[in-house]
Amino acid sequence: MTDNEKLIKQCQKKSSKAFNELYKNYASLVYGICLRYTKDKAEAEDLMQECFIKLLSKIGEYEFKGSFEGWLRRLTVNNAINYIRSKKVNILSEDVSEYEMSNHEMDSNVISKMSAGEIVNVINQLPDGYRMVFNLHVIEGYKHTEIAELLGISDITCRTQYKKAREALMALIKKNNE
Amino acid sequence: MSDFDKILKNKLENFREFPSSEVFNNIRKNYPKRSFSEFVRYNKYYFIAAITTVLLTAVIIAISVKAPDKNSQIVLDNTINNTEIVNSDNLNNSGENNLNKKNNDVYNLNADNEILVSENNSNLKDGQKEQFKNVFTSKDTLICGTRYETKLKGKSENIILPDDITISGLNDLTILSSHKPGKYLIRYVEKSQNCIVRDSMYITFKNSSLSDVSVSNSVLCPGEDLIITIRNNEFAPKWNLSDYNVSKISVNNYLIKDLKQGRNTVKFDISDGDCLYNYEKDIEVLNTIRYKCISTPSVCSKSNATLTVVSGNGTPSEYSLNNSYSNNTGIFTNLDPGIYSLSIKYGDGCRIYDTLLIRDSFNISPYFIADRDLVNKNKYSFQNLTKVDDKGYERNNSIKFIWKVNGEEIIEADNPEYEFTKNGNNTVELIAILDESCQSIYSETINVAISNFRIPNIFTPNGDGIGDEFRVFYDGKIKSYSLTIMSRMGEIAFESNNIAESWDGKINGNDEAAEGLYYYIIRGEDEFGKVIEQKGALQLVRH
Repeated sequence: MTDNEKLIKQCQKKSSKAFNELYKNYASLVYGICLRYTKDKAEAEDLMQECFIKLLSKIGEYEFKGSFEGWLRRLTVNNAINYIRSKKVNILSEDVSEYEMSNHEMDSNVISKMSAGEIVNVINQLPDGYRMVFNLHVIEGYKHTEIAELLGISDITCRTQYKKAREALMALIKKNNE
Repeated sequence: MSDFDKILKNKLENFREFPSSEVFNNIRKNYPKRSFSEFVRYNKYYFIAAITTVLLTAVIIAISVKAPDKNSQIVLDNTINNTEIVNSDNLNNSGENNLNKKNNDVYNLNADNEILVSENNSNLKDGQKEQFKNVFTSKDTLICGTRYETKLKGKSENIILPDDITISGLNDLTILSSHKPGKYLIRYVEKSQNCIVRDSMYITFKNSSLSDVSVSNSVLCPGEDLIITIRNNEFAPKWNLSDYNVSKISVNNYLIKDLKQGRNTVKFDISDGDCLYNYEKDIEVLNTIRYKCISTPSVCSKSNATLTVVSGNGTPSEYSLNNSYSNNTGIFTNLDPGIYSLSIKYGDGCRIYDTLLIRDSFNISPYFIADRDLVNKNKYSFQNLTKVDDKGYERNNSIKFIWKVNGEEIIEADNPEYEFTKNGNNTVELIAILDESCQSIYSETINVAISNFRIPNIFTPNGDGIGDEFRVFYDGKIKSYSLTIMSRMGEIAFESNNIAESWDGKINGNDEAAEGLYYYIIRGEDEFGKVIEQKGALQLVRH
């Protein structure tokens, strides 16, 4: 049994000390994901708390199949989806007129020179719906059909949202770099 | 998945950041509690051990109660007192408050014990009395800094100083200084013939400056946030920054956003209840570089585009394109058409990024205008006015120009001159060539009246020596020639078969011809046997 597995076993036995250790090990990972799905640090911290409280109550269900990190990622992403849903975001009716659409393709070099933190800052500025579709598709690697099912929207809407999200993101990156 | 998405995924997948400590505190409150049965189950070994210990202790106490010993009580007291004295030299922050509370009780005990143990027995002479007097104005004081000033009700030379404490000044104003923070016991012993006067006090010196504060950088790039790290401090700083947005990002770190370009002064103070610490630091935020990009498009997908980046303020240390070409001049030549990412480096590691499109142009529009020479009417000069994308072409676009007259190449020059030899319509073409797949033609038809004759159209036979004769010139050789001049009525005024012969304005050599308009017809053959015929009018004027 690895140290990590031992730690999780102890968490399942509700040891406070083990919880502290677990938090220390995984807080940055979970918070990093939360930041991507929310508009600012305050929301991210809110979501982060919900995720960890959920983790504390669900850790007993972890069966040591597959990596714990993967399991925790999924738990966090699912919580993020619920969190955004609870904010009653209407994914279809986002107004995007304020984002000037750019027709030219963004050079990937610009992206490659930005730090992850800088990119997350830009992602924060996207409307909630765009942000979620973008995260789920590009970062989490969900297929459009899967996202459509998760969010209760049509496959086509999902694709459109993704396309628009991407354009808005590029426009924002360009604007931020000016 | 596009490159753009791939890079994003790669970067963000493992993005990590720590939330503020509040999150942890909130989460900790929600730790699930074990039920009692779970608690017993998970800690059964501890329970057994605890019960055993309790039982054993009970047995030991039962035995020891039988023979209570007063000495043990005294020994215990001494231990406590000694500890206090040892600690008093250098106390850490956390222990201090507790000590302060019970200081007065401890103080008397300590002072007494110390004196009794170390000096009383040996030094108190017969008849000498020991007296306690308030020499110091305070029994316990706290100094934020390194200097304690007091008015002594005694003589300063009688003060017994611990290590690290120095004394200066007179009795009226005695100054005790320490450069090492800590709690010190200062004793006063004044010996006279029949009396020993004693007093003592505690001085706690605390640092009044924060040594453990650091900033992420004192020169920031535009838009960069400042992180201030305040270590080892449990008290919250009070920020003197009305214009800035300060947030706590972790236990020791504070993030300051929206610093303005130019000089910013970051100020805060921290109070720990006793001392106030001030901190002030100037942070410079560099100005955003202003720049202008001037590009010449590439033509026909050739590596012939140029880009010049000119910066308006500051001196960038490096310009780089696509992370592959870099220089410090900002001039890039022989570029392929396409999208470029430009980065300009300036200051201490600041960069600004831009994305540029260098266009590829196939839009060459050759055009020329033709000017007829004023003297030699067969000669034309051509001016090349070719445009590339509606702008004048640049020589470095390496466009090759070919001029053709009636399908035959004449010259490769930008602005040629040409003398036509064919009478009538001539086709002039200007071909702008980059390569075989990229060329463009402009053509114009020029009607040229070829003539080797030079024939005046006015003459004045008035004997003034100027233009008195009408004479025809021919450039070149002529085989046969005939000239007939007729009046408007069709009467022949002059005839000749010799080109060298001129008309003097007299009809048949006698009568002066009337003023007015006359017609001429020249017929002949040039040296190649080609028939020449030229008709025209001439004006006869006598004044």
